[in-house]
Amino acid sequence: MIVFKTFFKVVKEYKYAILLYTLILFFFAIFNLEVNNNNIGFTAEKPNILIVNNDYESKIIDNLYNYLEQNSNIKNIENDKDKINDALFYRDINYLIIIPKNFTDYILNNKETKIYVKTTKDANSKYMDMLLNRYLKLINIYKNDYDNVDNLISKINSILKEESHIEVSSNIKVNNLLKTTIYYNFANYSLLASCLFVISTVLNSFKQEMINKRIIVSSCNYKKHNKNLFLAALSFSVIIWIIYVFISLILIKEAMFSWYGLLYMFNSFVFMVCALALSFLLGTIINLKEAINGIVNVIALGSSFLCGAFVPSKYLPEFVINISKLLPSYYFINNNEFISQIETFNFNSLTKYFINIFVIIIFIILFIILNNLVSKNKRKTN
Amino acid sequence: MKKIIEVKHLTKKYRKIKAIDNLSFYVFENEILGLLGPNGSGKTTTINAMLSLLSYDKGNICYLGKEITPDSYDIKKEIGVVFQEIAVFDELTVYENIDYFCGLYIEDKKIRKKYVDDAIKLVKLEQFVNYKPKALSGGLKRRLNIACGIAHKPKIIFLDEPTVAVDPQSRNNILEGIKKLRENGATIIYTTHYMEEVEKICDRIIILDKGKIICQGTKEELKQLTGIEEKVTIEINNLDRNHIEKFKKLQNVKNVEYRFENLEITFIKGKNNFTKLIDYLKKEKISYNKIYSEMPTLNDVFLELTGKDLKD
Ligand SMILES: Nc1ncnc2c1ncn2[C@@H]1O[C@H](COP(=O)(O)OP(=O)(O)OP(=O)(O)O)[C@@H](O)[C@H]1O
Ligand SMILES: [Mg+2]
Repeated sequence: MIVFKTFFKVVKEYKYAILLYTLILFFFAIFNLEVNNNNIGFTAEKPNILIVNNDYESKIIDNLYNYLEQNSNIKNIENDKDKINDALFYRDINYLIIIPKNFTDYILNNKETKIYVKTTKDANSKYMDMLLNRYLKLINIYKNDYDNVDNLISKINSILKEESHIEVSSNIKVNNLLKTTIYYNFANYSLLASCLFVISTVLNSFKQEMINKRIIVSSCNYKKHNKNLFLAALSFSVIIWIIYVFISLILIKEAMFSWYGLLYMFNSFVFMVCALALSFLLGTIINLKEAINGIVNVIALGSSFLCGAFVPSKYLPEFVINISKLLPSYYFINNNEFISQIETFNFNSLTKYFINIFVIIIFIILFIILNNLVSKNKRKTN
Repeated sequence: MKKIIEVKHLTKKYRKIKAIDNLSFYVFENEILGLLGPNGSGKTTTINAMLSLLSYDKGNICYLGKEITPDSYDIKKEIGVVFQEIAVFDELTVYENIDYFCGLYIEDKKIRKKYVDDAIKLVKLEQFVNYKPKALSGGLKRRLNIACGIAHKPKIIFLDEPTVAVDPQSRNNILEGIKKLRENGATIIYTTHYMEEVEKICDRIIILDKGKIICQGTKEELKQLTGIEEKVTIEINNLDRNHIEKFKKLQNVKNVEYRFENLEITFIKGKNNFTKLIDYLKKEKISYNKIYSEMPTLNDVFLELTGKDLKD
């Protein structure tokens, strides 16, 4: 008990560092919320799209035009590659749909065909993805039940009408999930910086050679002492984790109070345990207390940049992504991105999620083994 | 007297160097045992071995007949240690530091609070309980270091050079504190390379050099080893060489040296050595400024047995 209490007394000395990292996360989240709220307003004005039709003007395609027109502005731009690319770049259009030749025939006759899309990869384009996919899915489901195309179209339209109110709410959901992902990606930095810095520094105090000697000569069981130290460090990181989750619960309620929220929380919890294991390793390796702050910053900032916590990883060059795969942060952030794209919840759709969790757990085990090796070695040389 | 600790044939090598070599000694109940020796003579190594902090190559160490191992928590419970280096948390206050180290032994909060207060009183740090170690002077830090080691009221206390780099006032405070601990029933093993401290507070002394015990016993016993009874110093200006030879021939004189206008004469046991010397000075009409007589010091013992000064 005294070990536990003393751990937190020492932690108290670093309260300003903890406060600082938490505030950084908090203000980042608020700032992001503002930016993304503007995006939602934009959606209400409807996204701009362009449809290039290489097929003939079939009823199915006509109907797609009509359906999309209800939820977006269909733009008229000359069918010229450069001009279209410019329009995408300057966001004159958010979404480009290219319908291939024979699309109508192929889809009605169960032959392979695919609509090509090019997007600006923002919330608007995700929304369009959803609309388009829903339309195509419904054709595929009902095409064999109806011989007459007109009947098929009226069936599809009636279903689309029913679902339209769901679409609006689901668009908000997509937005919120994006925000949540951005928040938890950034939490990679705050979680690493605060856990690594505070826990390694406090452990360093307990492991100072002379203090350690005092503990060894005392009648307190050394193993039990270290177990208590671990429990205290665990409690500390759980508290930090709870604070960070709590901020997200307040700021991004809609997404967090759902199955998605649970996935984000569990993902970050496992990552927090990973940060804890790494803190123990650092606390053992680093002898000089003054060096800890620097090393922790390199790790927290470095891994955040490399793994796309600040800048989405799709903007990073290939070789950086390859390097980042050696870091646990990559799998944590990758999972955050993945959660926002999940459509249904079942074991198959979550496989990738659990694989990422599994990789992080491997990192945890690795850090624990390394820590044991290093501390054994240290004890021998003493 | 009851033997509390028995050390037999203790030997510890670092690579090929024997840091301590075949040490055997006892510690008796409620005594202050001094381990005296120059730097590197093996004092810290001996203590660390006795605390089972260090593995050793030969020998055994028993507390009341029971050999100590790293897991002897029942023995460790009765031991308090004040290490040579200061070992405290920079992040904690004086009170919190003592409370933590005491808490490693004493779980009960109420008892601990009393013990911590007692320790603070003993080392006279009452005014500084809420200070962080960084704000304390060297001497106060040493006193904190001591309080951390003895707050749990151990029966056996090891103090490894607790007065190094401490001003005289703090040193006296510390020595007073140690005497008080003994009065309260503790047995104390005290290492130092200051012979004055040993003479002041130790009941029995073991003198170490190069990892070996060169002698042990009470102050008086050790001083007898030198064969010196008395040391007389006379301040004389420009003493004639011939006179020095004459002094050497006086009865009971062991050695005569003339350095920096000071004539040092050591006597072996005998009656009225000092008065006979003064009579002789009168008779020879040798004028002098000052004359005084001293008992031999432990430094003389060390000098006699090793041929070198303890202080070097
Ligand atoms: N870890 C170590 N590795 C190698 N040699 C050591 C080690 N610790 C001590 N020694 C050697 O053992 C001898 C005894 O050292 P020890 O520290 O016990 O002396 P000491 O009497 O406590 O000296 P001091 O008054 O300086 O504290 C010295 O020669 C020292 O160099
Ligand atoms: Mg020493």
